[in-house]
Amino acid sequence: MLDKTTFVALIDAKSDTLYRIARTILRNDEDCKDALQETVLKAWANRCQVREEAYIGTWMTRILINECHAIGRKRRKYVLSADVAARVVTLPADLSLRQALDAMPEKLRLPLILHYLEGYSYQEIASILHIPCTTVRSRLSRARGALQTEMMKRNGGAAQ
Amino acid sequence: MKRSDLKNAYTPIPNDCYNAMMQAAHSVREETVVKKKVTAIVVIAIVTILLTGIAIAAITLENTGEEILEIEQTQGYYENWTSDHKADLVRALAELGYVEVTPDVKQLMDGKVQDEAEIGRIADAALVQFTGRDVSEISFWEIMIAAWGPFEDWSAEEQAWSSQLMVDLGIHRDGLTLYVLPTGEIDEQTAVRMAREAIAEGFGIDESVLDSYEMNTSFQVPEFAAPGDTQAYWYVEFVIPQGAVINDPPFQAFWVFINPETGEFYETVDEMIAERNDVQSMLEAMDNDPLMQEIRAYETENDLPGNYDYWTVEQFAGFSEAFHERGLKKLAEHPEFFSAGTPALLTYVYGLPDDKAISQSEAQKIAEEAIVSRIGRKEDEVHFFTHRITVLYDVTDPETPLWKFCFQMPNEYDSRDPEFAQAVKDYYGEDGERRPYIKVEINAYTGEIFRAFTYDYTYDWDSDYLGEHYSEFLINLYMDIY
Repeated sequence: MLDKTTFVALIDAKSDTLYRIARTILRNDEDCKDALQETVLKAWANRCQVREEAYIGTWMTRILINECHAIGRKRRKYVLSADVAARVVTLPADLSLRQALDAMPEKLRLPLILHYLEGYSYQEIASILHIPCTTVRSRLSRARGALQTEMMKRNGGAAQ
Repeated sequence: MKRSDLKNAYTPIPNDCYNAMMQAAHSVREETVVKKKVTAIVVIAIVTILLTGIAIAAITLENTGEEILEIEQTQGYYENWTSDHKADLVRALAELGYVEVTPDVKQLMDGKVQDEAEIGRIADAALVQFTGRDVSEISFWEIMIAAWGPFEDWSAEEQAWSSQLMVDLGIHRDGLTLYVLPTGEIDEQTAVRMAREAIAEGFGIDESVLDSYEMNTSFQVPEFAAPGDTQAYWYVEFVIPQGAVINDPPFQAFWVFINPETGEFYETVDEMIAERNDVQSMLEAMDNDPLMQEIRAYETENDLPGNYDYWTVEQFAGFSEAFHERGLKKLAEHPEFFSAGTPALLTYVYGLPDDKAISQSEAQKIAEEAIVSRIGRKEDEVHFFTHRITVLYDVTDPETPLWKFCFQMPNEYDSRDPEFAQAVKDYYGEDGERRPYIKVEINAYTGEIFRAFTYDYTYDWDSDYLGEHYSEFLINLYMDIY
């Protein structure tokens, strides 16, 4: 079972990844903060569930996603994409892409982020989101299409 | 899509989030985790109550659900409903036992409340309490889930009922799972047996290993079905139950789709395992490839925008100098590593204009004229097209270097420049024609127009629903653009 030192180091190492995933679901940093804190505490409390270190990433991501959904439901912080830009304090480097991502439904956005940004395989995403691998593939396909369309709408330009 | 594009879209974790998370991590104490146990009697009591509740409610709740969905089609979600409809809904749910009959609700049910605002207030409060949602979030699904629990726990009949309702009301669309009532020669039990045998064989494990997993089954037309494809399958899924510990599990979750008539698997277990391994291997190979690592580092060090459209002539030239030769070789060896515009960037050689070349501003003037003379746009439109331009200097053929101009007019949705967006809207109208993107290539030594054409990024998703050729389409498009 994980000891505290390893656990703290793991959280530190995964902080950026966990934040990005939280930000994919929740639209403001205050809620992300709550979700991240809760995730850390729940992960520690349930650490006995994980035997294989290789699965810690997906396991913690699953906890985080559940936590984000719980917070989203509780606080009704799902906002329209139009409101997002005004509420983002620190503007990301590529705001246009971020806005396009925010405009996508979470169902498509989350697999996209998990796969292309966090590097999870189709199978891992399927495991995290509890959906079939074929569905992951189809959602990624549609996510790429939706992102492309959004980027075109917003920029009148190309999305790589 | 490049990983760096997405990374550019998200800032690193802000300090306060990081600090809060680390504070939580440091605050944990190494102590034995004690799980609360629920007695068997309590479990039996809960199950009995739930089963009784569902059995009583199932028939009429369906009618109520249908009415909710029908009203949503005309009046929108619950919060927009008339007070009469709100009151009717609360009465129905109260009679079914889902909504608590408070004194206020009793008054409402007895028709003793006349004031519309008061009716709304009582109904809202009752439904907020029932669903646990704010008024603005109350909908058909929230009410049904509050009544029947999470969708995945619904019975096959309940799932099929909800799908059929969507179909009947014209709400169902391609891309959503369609739950239907089981048909075919193969029943659920047989499908489960087939799934267990195939998965055990595929992973080389004893079937008893699967007993530790949670199994879910449903009968559905999957969401990845092509439009018009109504073939339903048995879906059998095995997942590690929440909180369970399986030593050295062969997988976290695995599933199969089985044709109920033929018994064929939509994808065999072996195919699925091979696919998983292939994708994993490719991603690992790409991440560990020295050149790919170098490219990623170069993009980061030089602070290159994630979208090539925002690169400057100098940035294209610098990238080409650093990676053209090696990148082209890698592209031939591992085309799967590259997508969208990158193959074009590695294929062509970009540089900077020499003394014999006309200047960028001279070339741009010629290109802008071509928007009218070659493409046929009006003079007073040109300034719209030149609002955003990607410029490249192509020296692939050193004897005939080309100035390449990509005029990519932002449309009225471009929130970064509201004034421009308004001007576009004013000129073209709310539903104006879709403006094309324009590419003009000019011989840098002679000033002659080499090519001028229009392009766009529209892809026919209807004919390629899963986007199997989308990547190919984009690569080819960028080969033209860049």
